[in-house]
Amino acid sequence: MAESRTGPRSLRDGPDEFRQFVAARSAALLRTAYLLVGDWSHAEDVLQTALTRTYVAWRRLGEIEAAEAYTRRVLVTTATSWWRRRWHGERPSEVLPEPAVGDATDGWLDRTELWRHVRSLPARQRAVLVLRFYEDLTEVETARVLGVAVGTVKSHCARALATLRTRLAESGVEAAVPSLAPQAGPLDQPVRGSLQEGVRDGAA
Amino acid sequence: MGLLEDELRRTLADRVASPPAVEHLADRAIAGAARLRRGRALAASLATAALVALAGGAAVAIVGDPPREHTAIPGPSASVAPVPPVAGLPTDVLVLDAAGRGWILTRDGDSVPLREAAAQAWRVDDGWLVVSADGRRLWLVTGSGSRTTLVEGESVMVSEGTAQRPGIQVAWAAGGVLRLGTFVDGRIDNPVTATGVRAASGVNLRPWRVVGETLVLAGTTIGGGLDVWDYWTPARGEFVPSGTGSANPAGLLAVLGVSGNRALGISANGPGDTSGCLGEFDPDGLVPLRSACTHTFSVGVDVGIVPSPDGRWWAVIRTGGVALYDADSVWTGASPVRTWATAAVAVGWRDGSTLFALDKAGTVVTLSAAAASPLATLPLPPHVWPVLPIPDLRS
Repeated sequence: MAESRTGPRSLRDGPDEFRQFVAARSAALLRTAYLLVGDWSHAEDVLQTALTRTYVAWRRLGEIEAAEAYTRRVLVTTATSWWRRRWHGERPSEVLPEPAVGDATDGWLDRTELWRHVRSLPARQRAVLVLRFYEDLTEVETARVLGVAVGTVKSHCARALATLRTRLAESGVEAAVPSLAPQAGPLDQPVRGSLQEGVRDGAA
Repeated sequence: MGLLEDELRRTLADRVASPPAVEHLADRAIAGAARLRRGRALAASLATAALVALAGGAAVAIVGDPPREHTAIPGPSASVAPVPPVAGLPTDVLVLDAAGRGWILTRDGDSVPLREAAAQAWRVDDGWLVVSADGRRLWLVTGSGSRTTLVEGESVMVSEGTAQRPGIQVAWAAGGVLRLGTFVDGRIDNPVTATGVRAASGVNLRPWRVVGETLVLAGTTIGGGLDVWDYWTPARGEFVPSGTGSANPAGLLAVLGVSGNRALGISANGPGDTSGCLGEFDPDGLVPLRSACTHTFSVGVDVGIVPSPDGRWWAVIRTGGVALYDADSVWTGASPVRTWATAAVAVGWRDGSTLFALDKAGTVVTLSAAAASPLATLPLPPHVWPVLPIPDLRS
Protein backbone atom coordinates (compact mmCIF):
# COMPACT_ATOMS: atom_id res chain seq x y z
CA MET A 1 0.00 0.00 0.00
CA ALA A 2 1.61 3.24 -1.12
CA GLU A 3 1.60 6.05 1.37
CA SER A 4 1.77 9.71 0.67
CA ARG A 5 5.28 11.00 1.06
CA THR A 6 4.33 13.79 3.34
CA GLY A 7 1.63 14.14 5.96
CA PRO A 8 -1.05 11.61 6.85
CA ARG A 9 -1.88 8.57 4.79
CA SER A 10 -4.59 9.19 2.30
CA LEU A 11 -7.45 6.87 1.55
CA ARG A 12 -7.21 5.75 -2.02
CA ASP A 13 -7.62 2.01 -2.28
CA GLY A 14 -10.96 1.69 -0.52
CA PRO A 15 -11.63 -1.88 0.60
CA ASP A 16 -8.08 -2.97 1.30
CA GLU A 17 -7.12 0.14 3.16
CA PHE A 18 -10.35 0.01 5.09
CA ARG A 19 -9.59 -3.57 6.10
CA GLN A 20 -6.19 -2.50 7.32
CA PHE A 21 -7.76 0.34 9.27
CA VAL A 22 -10.23 -2.05 10.89
CA ALA A 23 -7.51 -4.57 11.69
CA ALA A 24 -5.42 -1.88 13.35
CA ARG A 25 -8.08 -0.01 15.29
CA SER A 26 -11.07 -2.24 15.87
CA ALA A 27 -9.80 -3.73 19.11
CA ALA A 28 -9.32 -0.30 20.66
CA LEU A 29 -12.66 0.89 19.36
CA LEU A 30 -14.36 -2.24 20.65
CA ARG A 31 -13.02 -1.51 24.11
CA THR A 32 -14.41 1.98 23.99
CA ALA A 33 -17.73 0.67 22.76
CA TYR A 34 -17.86 -1.79 25.64
CA LEU A 35 -17.26 0.93 28.20
CA LEU A 36 -20.05 2.93 26.64
CA VAL A 37 -22.68 0.19 26.55
CA GLY A 38 -21.46 -2.27 29.21
CA ASP A 39 -21.86 -5.45 27.22
CA TRP A 40 -19.55 -7.07 24.70
CA SER A 41 -22.32 -8.21 22.41
CA HIS A 42 -23.85 -4.76 22.26
CA ALA A 43 -20.40 -3.27 21.88
CA GLU A 44 -19.80 -5.38 18.79
CA ASP A 45 -23.16 -4.29 17.45
CA VAL A 46 -22.34 -0.63 18.00
CA LEU A 47 -18.89 -0.98 16.52
CA GLN A 48 -20.23 -2.76 13.45
CA THR A 49 -22.68 0.07 12.89
CA ALA A 50 -19.92 2.65 13.27
CA LEU A 51 -17.59 0.86 10.87
CA THR A 52 -20.34 0.43 8.30
CA ARG A 53 -21.05 4.13 8.35
CA THR A 54 -17.37 4.88 8.20
CA TYR A 55 -16.97 2.84 5.08
CA VAL A 56 -19.90 4.63 3.47
CA ALA A 57 -18.02 7.87 4.07
CA TRP A 58 -14.60 6.38 3.40
CA ARG A 59 -13.62 8.21 0.27
CA ARG A 60 -14.56 11.63 1.49
CA LEU A 61 -12.74 11.19 4.80
CA GLY A 62 -9.46 11.70 3.05
CA GLU A 63 -7.11 10.51 5.76
CA ILE A 64 -6.77 7.61 8.14
CA GLU A 65 -6.64 9.96 11.11
CA ALA A 66 -9.88 11.56 9.98
CA ALA A 67 -11.40 8.12 9.55
CA GLU A 68 -10.61 7.12 13.11
CA ALA A 69 -11.99 10.35 14.50
CA TYR A 70 -15.08 9.87 12.40
CA THR A 71 -15.51 6.29 13.53
CA ARG A 72 -15.13 7.25 17.15
CA ARG A 73 -17.70 9.98 16.79
CA VAL A 74 -20.20 7.63 15.15
CA LEU A 75 -19.40 5.02 17.78
CA VAL A 76 -20.15 7.33 20.66
CA THR A 77 -23.24 8.76 19.02
CA THR A 78 -24.61 5.33 18.29
CA ALA A 79 -23.79 4.00 21.74
CA THR A 80 -25.47 6.88 23.50
CA SER A 81 -28.39 6.93 21.16
CA TRP A 82 -31.56 6.91 23.10
CA TRP A 83 -33.08 4.57 20.57
CA ARG A 84 -30.27 2.07 20.96
CA ARG A 85 -30.63 2.22 24.69
CA ARG A 86 -34.31 1.56 24.33
CA TRP A 87 -33.74 -1.25 21.91
CA HIS A 88 -31.28 -3.08 24.05
CA GLY A 89 -33.21 -2.27 27.15
CA GLU A 90 -30.28 -0.65 28.81
CA ARG A 91 -31.24 1.20 31.92
CA PRO A 92 -29.49 2.82 34.82
CA SER A 93 -29.55 -0.05 37.20
CA GLU A 94 -28.03 -1.28 40.35
CA VAL A 95 -28.06 -4.81 38.98
CA LEU A 96 -25.46 -5.92 36.48
CA PRO A 97 -26.42 -8.71 34.12
CA GLU A 98 -22.85 -9.93 33.92
CA PRO A 99 -20.52 -11.29 36.56
CA ALA A 100 -17.75 -9.22 38.06
CA VAL A 101 -14.48 -9.37 36.23
CA GLY A 102 -11.04 -9.61 37.65
CA ASP A 103 -9.62 -8.86 41.02
CA ALA A 104 -10.99 -5.46 41.79
CA THR A 105 -10.04 -5.15 45.39
CA ASP A 106 -6.49 -3.84 45.27
CA GLY A 107 -6.38 -0.26 46.36
CA TRP A 108 -8.95 1.44 48.46
CA LEU A 109 -11.92 0.79 46.25
CA ASP A 110 -13.75 -2.22 44.94
CA ARG A 111 -13.60 -1.50 41.23
CA THR A 112 -16.49 -3.79 40.52
CA GLU A 113 -18.59 -1.53 42.64
CA LEU A 114 -17.23 1.56 40.94
CA TRP A 115 -17.98 0.04 37.55
CA ARG A 116 -21.49 -0.76 38.71
CA HIS A 117 -22.00 2.87 39.61
CA VAL A 118 -20.48 4.02 36.34
CA ARG A 119 -22.91 1.81 34.45
CA SER A 120 -25.79 3.31 36.35
CA LEU A 121 -24.98 6.79 35.12
CA PRO A 122 -26.97 8.32 32.30
CA ALA A 123 -25.45 7.35 28.96
CA ARG A 124 -24.14 10.78 28.12
CA GLN A 125 -22.42 11.25 31.45
CA ARG A 126 -20.88 7.83 31.09
CA ALA A 127 -19.70 8.71 27.59
CA VAL A 128 -17.94 11.81 28.91
CA LEU A 129 -16.18 9.76 31.57
CA VAL A 130 -15.08 7.16 29.05
CA LEU A 131 -13.75 9.76 26.65
CA ARG A 132 -12.02 11.75 29.38
CA PHE A 133 -10.69 8.99 31.60
CA TYR A 134 -10.23 6.08 29.25
CA GLU A 135 -9.63 7.70 25.88
CA ASP A 136 -7.73 10.54 27.60
CA LEU A 137 -9.32 13.18 25.44
CA THR A 138 -9.26 16.80 26.48
CA GLU A 139 -12.48 18.61 27.16
CA VAL A 140 -12.25 20.25 23.77
CA GLU A 141 -11.66 16.93 22.03
CA THR A 142 -14.49 15.34 23.97
CA ALA A 143 -16.82 18.16 23.02
CA ARG A 144 -15.90 17.69 19.38
CA VAL A 145 -16.64 13.95 19.51
CA LEU A 146 -19.96 14.49 21.20
CA GLY A 147 -20.88 17.50 19.14
CA VAL A 148 -21.58 19.66 22.18
CA ALA A 149 -20.15 22.70 23.86
CA VAL A 150 -17.15 22.41 26.14
CA GLY A 151 -19.29 23.69 28.98
CA THR A 152 -21.63 20.78 28.48
CA VAL A 153 -18.72 18.37 28.75
CA LYS A 154 -17.61 20.04 31.96
CA SER A 155 -21.05 19.88 33.51
CA HIS A 156 -21.60 16.25 32.48
CA CYS A 157 -18.24 15.31 33.92
CA ALA A 158 -18.78 17.19 37.14
CA ARG A 159 -22.23 15.73 37.64
CA ALA A 160 -21.03 12.23 36.87
CA LEU A 161 -18.16 12.43 39.34
CA ALA A 162 -20.39 13.95 41.96
CA THR A 163 -22.88 11.14 41.51
CA LEU A 164 -20.15 8.55 41.81
CA ARG A 165 -18.87 10.16 44.99
CA THR A 166 -22.34 10.21 46.46
CA ARG A 167 -23.05 6.60 45.61
CA LEU A 168 -19.70 5.45 46.88
CA ALA A 169 -20.27 7.37 50.06
CA GLU A 170 -23.64 5.72 50.46
CA SER A 171 -21.84 2.43 50.07
CA GLY A 172 -19.62 3.34 52.97
CA VAL A 173 -16.47 4.01 50.98
CA GLU A 174 -16.12 7.60 52.11
CA ALA A 175 -15.59 6.55 55.67
CA ALA A 176 -12.55 4.58 54.62
CA VAL A 177 -11.15 7.19 52.29
CA PRO A 178 -11.60 10.71 53.62
CA SER A 179 -9.78 12.15 50.61
CA LEU A 180 -12.52 10.97 48.28
CA ALA A 181 -13.87 14.52 48.37
CA PRO A 182 -13.50 16.52 45.14
CA GLN A 183 -9.96 17.56 44.54
CA ALA A 184 -9.04 21.15 43.89
CA GLY A 185 -7.74 21.76 40.45
CA PRO A 186 -9.00 22.51 37.01
CA LEU A 187 -10.93 19.96 35.06
CA ASP A 188 -9.79 21.58 31.88
CA GLN A 189 -6.43 19.94 31.96
CA PRO A 190 -5.89 17.01 29.63
CA VAL A 191 -6.39 13.84 31.59
CA ARG A 192 -3.40 12.12 30.17
CA GLY A 193 -1.42 9.43 31.82
CA SER A 194 0.27 6.19 31.21
CA LEU A 195 -2.05 3.71 32.84
CA GLN A 196 -4.02 2.70 29.79
CA GLU A 197 -1.54 3.09 27.00
CA GLY A 198 -0.40 -0.48 27.06
CA VAL A 199 -3.99 -1.63 26.79
CA ARG A 200 -5.41 1.00 24.47
CA ASP A 201 -2.80 1.04 21.81
CA GLY A 202 -2.68 -2.68 21.35
CA ALA A 203 -3.77 -3.76 17.92
CA ALA A 204 -6.20 -6.57 17.41
CA MET B 1 -5.91 14.53 39.90
CA GLY B 2 -8.11 13.01 42.58
CA LEU B 3 -8.21 9.49 43.91
CA LEU B 4 -11.58 8.87 42.36
CA GLU B 5 -10.38 9.95 38.95
CA ASP B 6 -7.36 7.66 39.26
CA GLU B 7 -9.49 4.74 40.34
CA LEU B 8 -11.92 5.47 37.56
CA ARG B 9 -9.15 5.26 35.01
CA ARG B 10 -7.89 1.99 36.46
CA THR B 11 -11.39 0.59 36.65
CA LEU B 12 -12.15 1.38 33.04
CA ALA B 13 -8.86 -0.10 31.90
CA ASP B 14 -9.46 -3.24 33.95
CA ARG B 15 -12.88 -3.76 32.42
CA VAL B 16 -11.49 -3.96 28.92
CA ALA B 17 -8.28 -5.79 29.64
CA SER B 18 -9.47 -8.93 27.85
CA PRO B 19 -11.78 -8.10 24.98
CA PRO B 20 -13.23 -10.93 22.92
CA ALA B 21 -12.04 -11.50 19.39
CA VAL B 22 -14.42 -10.30 16.72
CA GLU B 23 -14.10 -11.48 13.16
CA HIS B 24 -15.14 -10.16 9.80
CA LEU B 25 -15.86 -6.63 11.00
CA ALA B 26 -14.44 -5.10 7.85
CA ASP B 27 -16.17 -7.47 5.44
CA ARG B 28 -19.49 -6.98 7.15
CA ALA B 29 -19.01 -3.24 7.11
CA ILE B 30 -18.21 -3.25 3.40
CA ALA B 31 -21.25 -5.38 2.61
CA GLY B 32 -23.39 -3.25 4.85
CA ALA B 33 -22.17 -0.07 3.23
CA ALA B 34 -23.07 -1.44 -0.18
CA ARG B 35 -26.52 -2.21 1.06
CA LEU B 36 -26.75 1.26 2.53
CA ARG B 37 -25.89 2.85 -0.76
CA ARG B 38 -28.42 0.71 -2.60
CA GLY B 39 -31.06 1.43 -0.01
CA ARG B 40 -30.36 5.17 0.02
CA ALA B 41 -28.50 5.43 3.32
CA LEU B 42 -30.76 2.85 4.89
CA ALA B 43 -29.07 2.38 8.21
CA ALA B 44 -28.62 6.06 8.91
CA SER B 45 -32.14 6.89 7.84
CA LEU B 46 -33.66 4.10 9.85
CA ALA B 47 -32.48 5.82 12.99
CA THR B 48 -34.32 8.82 11.65
CA ALA B 49 -37.19 6.58 10.69
CA ALA B 50 -37.50 5.43 14.24
CA LEU B 51 -37.77 9.04 15.28
CA VAL B 52 -40.27 9.81 12.56
CA ALA B 53 -42.23 6.67 13.15
CA LEU B 54 -42.94 7.70 16.68
CA ALA B 55 -44.46 10.88 15.36
CA GLY B 56 -48.00 9.70 15.00
CA GLY B 57 -50.33 6.95 14.03
CA ALA B 58 -53.39 5.53 15.56
CA ALA B 59 -52.93 3.00 18.29
CA VAL B 60 -49.40 2.04 17.26
CA ALA B 61 -46.13 2.89 18.95
CA ILE B 62 -42.71 1.69 17.97
CA VAL B 63 -39.33 1.72 19.52
CA GLY B 64 -35.80 1.41 18.38
CA ASP B 65 -34.11 0.43 15.19
CA PRO B 66 -35.34 -2.54 13.21
CA PRO B 67 -34.61 -5.92 14.73
CA ARG B 68 -31.03 -6.89 14.20
CA GLU B 69 -31.81 -10.57 14.36
CA HIS B 70 -33.65 -10.16 11.12
CA THR B 71 -31.11 -7.91 9.47
CA ALA B 72 -28.32 -10.32 8.68
CA ILE B 73 -26.39 -8.76 5.86
CA PRO B 74 -27.25 -10.66 2.71
CA GLY B 75 -24.59 -12.05 0.46
CA PRO B 76 -24.33 -11.53 -3.26
CA SER B 77 -27.07 -14.05 -3.86
CA ALA B 78 -29.61 -12.17 -1.75
CA SER B 79 -33.02 -12.17 -3.28
CA VAL B 80 -34.21 -9.00 -4.95
CA ALA B 81 -37.36 -10.68 -6.12
CA PRO B 82 -40.71 -9.25 -5.17
CA VAL B 83 -41.70 -9.75 -1.57
CA PRO B 84 -44.60 -12.19 -1.53
CA PRO B 85 -47.83 -11.39 0.30
CA VAL B 86 -48.43 -13.04 3.64
CA ALA B 87 -51.77 -14.63 4.45
CA GLY B 88 -53.34 -14.08 7.81
CA LEU B 89 -51.64 -10.88 8.92
CA PRO B 90 -53.65 -9.12 11.64
CA THR B 91 -52.60 -5.77 10.23
CA ASP B 92 -50.81 -4.19 7.31
CA VAL B 93 -47.06 -4.26 7.84
CA LEU B 94 -44.28 -2.13 6.37
CA VAL B 95 -41.17 -4.11 5.46
CA LEU B 96 -37.93 -3.72 3.53
CA ASP B 97 -36.43 -6.22 1.14
CA ALA B 98 -32.80 -7.23 0.73
CA ALA B 99 -32.25 -4.44 -1.77
CA GLY B 100 -33.49 -1.87 0.69
CA ARG B 101 -36.80 -1.24 -1.07
CA GLY B 102 -39.98 -0.80 0.86
CA TRP B 103 -43.04 -3.02 0.64
CA ILE B 104 -46.44 -2.97 2.23
CA LEU B 105 -47.82 -6.39 3.14
CA THR B 106 -51.55 -6.07 3.71
CA ARG B 107 -53.83 -8.10 5.86
CA ASP B 108 -55.96 -8.55 2.78
CA GLY B 109 -53.14 -10.65 1.33
CA ASP B 110 -51.57 -8.09 -1.00
CA SER B 111 -47.98 -7.01 -1.50
CA VAL B 112 -47.49 -3.39 -2.60
CA PRO B 113 -44.03 -2.25 -3.78
CA LEU B 114 -42.76 1.18 -2.72
CA ARG B 115 -39.55 1.24 -4.81
CA GLU B 116 -37.69 3.06 -2.02
CA ALA B 117 -37.07 2.43 1.63
CA ALA B 118 -39.76 3.83 3.90
CA ALA B 119 -39.91 4.73 7.56
CA GLN B 120 -43.60 4.50 8.37
CA ALA B 121 -46.98 4.18 6.72
CA TRP B 122 -50.65 4.72 7.52
CA ARG B 123 -53.65 3.14 5.80
CA VAL B 124 -56.00 5.80 4.44
CA ASP B 125 -59.02 5.77 2.18
CA ASP B 126 -56.99 6.47 -0.98
CA GLY B 127 -54.21 4.01 -0.25
CA TRP B 128 -51.37 4.63 2.18
CA LEU B 129 -49.56 7.65 3.45
CA VAL B 130 -45.88 6.71 3.51
CA VAL B 131 -42.89 8.56 4.95
CA SER B 132 -39.60 8.10 3.13
CA ALA B 133 -36.74 6.43 4.95
CA ASP B 134 -34.92 9.73 5.39
CA GLY B 135 -38.00 11.15 7.05
CA ARG B 136 -38.23 14.03 4.62
CA ARG B 137 -41.02 13.19 2.21
CA LEU B 138 -44.62 12.11 2.57
CA TRP B 139 -46.07 10.09 -0.28
CA LEU B 140 -49.56 8.97 -1.12
CA VAL B 141 -49.25 5.44 -2.47
CA THR B 142 -52.09 3.60 -4.20
CA GLY B 143 -52.71 -0.12 -4.31
CA SER B 144 -50.85 -0.36 -7.61
CA GLY B 145 -47.79 1.24 -6.07
CA SER B 146 -48.09 4.59 -7.86
CA ARG B 147 -46.71 7.38 -5.72
CA THR B 148 -47.39 11.09 -5.29
CA THR B 149 -45.26 13.34 -3.10
CA LEU B 150 -47.52 15.41 -0.85
CA VAL B 151 -45.04 17.34 1.29
CA GLU B 152 -41.31 17.56 1.74
CA GLY B 153 -39.16 18.96 4.55
CA GLU B 154 -36.60 18.06 7.20
CA SER B 155 -39.17 15.96 8.99
CA VAL B 156 -42.78 15.01 8.37
CA MET B 157 -45.51 13.63 10.59
CA VAL B 158 -48.88 12.02 10.20
CA SER B 159 -51.24 11.92 13.15
CA GLU B 160 -54.75 10.75 13.70
CA GLY B 161 -57.25 13.57 13.92
CA THR B 162 -58.78 14.71 17.18
CA ALA B 163 -62.07 16.24 18.22
CA GLN B 164 -60.44 19.67 18.08
CA ARG B 165 -58.57 19.00 14.83
CA PRO B 166 -60.62 16.47 12.86
CA GLY B 167 -59.24 14.59 9.91
CA ILE B 168 -55.81 13.12 9.35
CA GLN B 169 -53.24 15.66 10.44
CA VAL B 170 -50.01 16.18 8.52
CA ALA B 171 -47.14 18.31 9.74
CA TRP B 172 -43.80 19.07 8.22
CA ALA B 173 -40.86 21.17 9.35
CA ALA B 174 -37.85 22.75 7.68
CA GLY B 175 -35.44 25.41 8.86
CA GLY B 176 -37.47 26.16 11.96
CA VAL B 177 -40.67 26.67 9.97
CA LEU B 178 -43.46 24.30 10.90
CA ARG B 179 -46.66 23.67 8.96
CA LEU B 180 -49.71 21.70 10.05
CA GLY B 181 -52.57 20.79 7.73
CA THR B 182 -55.31 18.24 7.13
CA PHE B 183 -55.12 15.44 4.58
CA VAL B 184 -58.28 15.61 2.48
CA ASP B 185 -59.01 14.09 -0.94
CA GLY B 186 -55.41 13.36 -1.72
CA ARG B 187 -53.97 16.71 -0.73
CA ILE B 188 -53.05 18.78 2.35
CA ASP B 189 -55.64 21.42 3.17
CA ASN B 190 -55.64 24.57 5.30
CA PRO B 191 -52.05 24.53 6.50
CA VAL B 192 -51.15 26.78 9.40
CA THR B 193 -47.61 27.94 9.92
CA ALA B 194 -45.29 28.64 12.84
CA THR B 195 -41.79 30.03 12.61
CA GLY B 196 -38.78 29.86 14.87
CA VAL B 197 -39.70 26.37 16.03
CA ARG B 198 -36.71 25.52 18.16
CA ALA B 199 -36.42 24.59 21.80
CA ALA B 200 -35.19 27.17 24.30
CA SER B 201 -31.88 25.30 24.23
CA GLY B 202 -31.68 25.80 20.47
CA VAL B 203 -32.42 22.19 19.59
CA ASN B 204 -34.47 21.73 16.42
CA LEU B 205 -37.94 20.44 17.11
CA ARG B 206 -39.88 18.01 14.95
CA PRO B 207 -43.63 17.42 14.91
CA TRP B 208 -44.45 14.39 17.05
CA ARG B 209 -48.21 14.07 17.29
CA VAL B 210 -51.43 16.08 17.47
CA VAL B 211 -53.06 15.78 20.88
CA GLY B 212 -56.28 17.68 21.33
CA GLU B 213 -55.71 21.01 19.65
CA THR B 214 -51.97 20.95 20.27
CA LEU B 215 -49.08 19.70 18.18
CA VAL B 216 -46.57 18.05 20.48
CA LEU B 217 -43.00 18.58 19.34
CA ALA B 218 -39.90 16.52 20.03
CA GLY B 219 -36.20 16.94 19.55
CA THR B 220 -32.88 15.38 20.39
CA THR B 221 -29.73 16.55 22.07
CA ILE B 222 -26.89 14.07 21.97
CA GLY B 223 -27.22 10.76 20.30
CA GLY B 224 -30.49 10.93 18.43
CA GLY B 225 -32.99 9.99 21.08
CA LEU B 226 -36.13 11.96 21.82
CA ASP B 227 -35.28 13.84 24.96
CA VAL B 228 -36.55 17.34 24.29
CA TRP B 229 -40.27 18.07 24.33
CA ASP B 230 -42.29 21.15 23.54
CA TYR B 231 -45.61 22.07 22.00
CA TRP B 232 -47.45 24.44 19.67
CA THR B 233 -51.12 25.23 19.94
CA PRO B 234 -52.06 26.99 16.69
CA ALA B 235 -55.17 28.54 18.19
CA ARG B 236 -52.94 30.53 20.54
CA GLY B 237 -50.84 31.97 17.77
CA GLU B 238 -47.15 31.70 17.12
CA PHE B 239 -44.84 29.14 18.63
CA VAL B 240 -43.06 30.23 21.81
CA PRO B 241 -40.44 27.88 23.24
CA SER B 242 -41.20 26.68 26.72
CA GLY B 243 -38.62 25.73 29.29
CA THR B 244 -35.73 27.92 30.37
CA GLY B 245 -32.88 26.50 28.38
CA SER B 246 -33.10 23.17 30.07
CA ALA B 247 -34.57 20.38 28.05
CA ASN B 248 -38.27 20.27 28.86
CA PRO B 249 -41.12 22.03 30.50
CA ALA B 250 -40.84 21.55 34.22
CA GLY B 251 -42.05 18.17 35.41
CA LEU B 252 -41.84 16.34 32.09
CA LEU B 253 -39.22 13.70 31.41
CA ALA B 254 -40.64 11.97 28.34
CA VAL B 255 -43.87 11.55 26.45
CA LEU B 256 -44.79 7.94 25.81
CA GLY B 257 -48.28 8.00 24.35
CA VAL B 258 -51.64 9.65 24.03
CA SER B 259 -54.98 8.93 25.62
CA GLY B 260 -57.86 11.00 24.35
CA ASN B 261 -56.73 14.61 24.49
CA ARG B 262 -54.04 13.95 27.07
CA ALA B 263 -50.39 13.06 26.72
CA LEU B 264 -49.05 10.20 28.79
CA GLY B 265 -45.50 10.01 29.94
CA ILE B 266 -43.00 10.22 32.74
CA SER B 267 -43.03 12.96 35.34
CA ALA B 268 -39.56 14.04 36.30
CA ASN B 269 -38.66 14.77 39.89
CA GLY B 270 -35.49 16.65 39.20
CA PRO B 271 -32.79 17.40 36.66
CA GLY B 272 -30.86 14.42 35.47
CA ASP B 273 -33.69 12.03 36.27
CA THR B 274 -34.06 9.02 34.03
CA SER B 275 -37.02 7.62 35.94
CA GLY B 276 -40.14 9.11 37.36
CA CYS B 277 -43.81 8.63 38.02
CA LEU B 278 -46.38 7.77 35.43
CA GLY B 279 -47.88 11.10 34.47
CA GLU B 280 -50.72 12.57 32.50
CA PHE B 281 -50.19 15.94 30.85
CA ASP B 282 -52.27 18.61 29.26
CA PRO B 283 -50.63 18.89 25.85
CA ASP B 284 -51.31 22.61 25.80
CA GLY B 285 -48.43 23.55 28.00
CA LEU B 286 -47.31 19.98 28.73
CA VAL B 287 -48.59 20.66 32.21
CA PRO B 288 -48.76 17.73 34.63
CA LEU B 289 -52.37 16.95 35.54
CA ARG B 290 -51.95 13.85 37.65
CA SER B 291 -49.41 11.22 38.40
CA ALA B 292 -49.21 7.78 39.88
CA CYS B 293 -45.97 7.25 41.69
CA THR B 294 -46.68 3.66 42.54
CA HIS B 295 -45.63 3.13 38.93
CA THR B 296 -42.03 4.00 38.22
CA PHE B 297 -41.43 4.50 34.55
CA SER B 298 -37.93 4.79 33.17
CA VAL B 299 -36.50 6.19 29.99
CA GLY B 300 -35.04 3.36 28.01
CA VAL B 301 -37.11 0.77 29.86
CA ASP B 302 -40.69 1.90 29.32
CA VAL B 303 -40.79 3.06 25.77
CA GLY B 304 -44.42 3.42 24.70
CA ILE B 305 -47.98 3.52 25.96
CA VAL B 306 -50.64 2.53 23.42
CA PRO B 307 -54.26 2.80 24.59
CA SER B 308 -56.88 0.56 23.03
CA PRO B 309 -59.33 2.25 20.64
CA ASP B 310 -61.95 2.59 23.36
CA GLY B 311 -59.41 3.66 25.94
CA ARG B 312 -60.18 0.70 28.18
CA TRP B 313 -56.68 -0.76 28.14
CA TRP B 314 -53.15 0.47 27.91
CA ALA B 315 -50.48 -1.62 26.24
CA VAL B 316 -47.13 -0.59 27.65
CA ILE B 317 -44.03 -1.56 25.68
CA ARG B 318 -41.11 -2.06 27.99
CA THR B 319 -37.88 -3.95 28.21
CA GLY B 320 -38.64 -7.64 28.25
CA GLY B 321 -42.18 -7.51 26.99
CA VAL B 322 -45.56 -5.91 26.85
CA ALA B 323 -47.73 -5.12 29.86
CA LEU B 324 -51.46 -4.53 29.82
CA TYR B 325 -52.94 -2.04 32.28
CA ASP B 326 -56.53 -1.26 33.10
CA ALA B 327 -56.80 2.43 32.20
CA ASP B 328 -59.17 3.12 35.07
CA SER B 329 -57.25 1.50 37.87
CA VAL B 330 -53.75 2.41 36.70
CA TRP B 331 -54.03 5.76 38.46
CA THR B 332 -54.72 4.08 41.76
CA GLY B 333 -51.61 1.97 41.42
CA ALA B 334 -53.07 -1.27 40.12
CA SER B 335 -50.57 -3.71 38.68
CA PRO B 336 -50.69 -4.84 35.05
CA VAL B 337 -53.55 -7.16 34.21
CA ARG B 338 -51.37 -9.07 31.75
CA THR B 339 -47.71 -9.28 30.96
CA TRP B 340 -46.34 -10.96 27.86
CA ALA B 341 -42.70 -11.77 27.34
CA THR B 342 -42.77 -10.53 23.78
CA ALA B 343 -39.78 -8.36 22.91
CA ALA B 344 -41.87 -5.95 20.91
CA VAL B 345 -40.63 -3.45 18.39
CA ALA B 346 -44.12 -2.08 18.04
CA VAL B 347 -47.66 -2.82 19.18
CA GLY B 348 -51.05 -1.91 17.83
CA TRP B 349 -54.70 -2.70 18.49
CA ARG B 350 -56.92 -4.71 16.21
CA ASP B 351 -60.00 -4.01 18.28
CA GLY B 352 -60.93 -3.20 21.84
CA SER B 353 -59.35 -6.29 23.31
CA THR B 354 -57.02 -7.76 20.67
CA LEU B 355 -53.61 -6.35 19.99
CA PHE B 356 -50.61 -7.36 17.97
CA ALA B 357 -46.92 -6.96 18.53
CA LEU B 358 -44.09 -7.01 16.03
CA ASP B 359 -41.13 -8.62 17.69
CA LYS B 360 -37.41 -8.42 17.04
CA ALA B 361 -37.40 -11.58 14.97
CA GLY B 362 -39.95 -10.20 12.54
CA THR B 363 -42.84 -12.21 13.91
CA VAL B 364 -46.28 -10.72 14.22
CA VAL B 365 -47.71 -11.87 17.55
CA THR B 366 -51.42 -11.60 18.29
CA LEU B 367 -52.30 -10.98 21.94
CA SER B 368 -55.56 -10.66 23.79
CA ALA B 369 -56.59 -9.01 27.01
CA ALA B 370 -58.42 -12.25 27.79
CA ALA B 371 -55.45 -14.57 27.36
CA ALA B 372 -52.19 -14.97 29.19
CA SER B 373 -50.44 -16.48 26.18
CA PRO B 374 -50.24 -15.25 22.59
CA LEU B 375 -53.16 -16.27 20.42
CA ALA B 376 -51.11 -16.61 17.26
CA THR B 377 -47.71 -15.97 15.78
CA LEU B 378 -46.95 -15.32 12.13
CA PRO B 379 -43.42 -14.90 10.78
CA LEU B 380 -42.63 -12.57 7.93
CA PRO B 381 -40.86 -13.88 4.82
CA PRO B 382 -37.11 -14.45 4.98
CA HIS B 383 -34.77 -11.75 3.66
CA VAL B 384 -37.33 -9.19 4.70
CA TRP B 385 -36.69 -6.57 7.29
CA PRO B 386 -39.77 -5.69 9.33
CA VAL B 387 -40.23 -2.01 9.98
CA LEU B 388 -43.65 -1.31 11.48
CA PRO B 389 -47.26 -2.31 11.68
CA ILE B 390 -49.36 0.17 9.71
CA PRO B 391 -52.14 1.98 11.56
CA ASP B 392 -55.50 2.11 9.88
CA LEU B 393 -56.81 5.68 9.61
CA ARG B 394 -59.58 4.96 7.15
CA SER B 395 -62.88 6.62 7.80
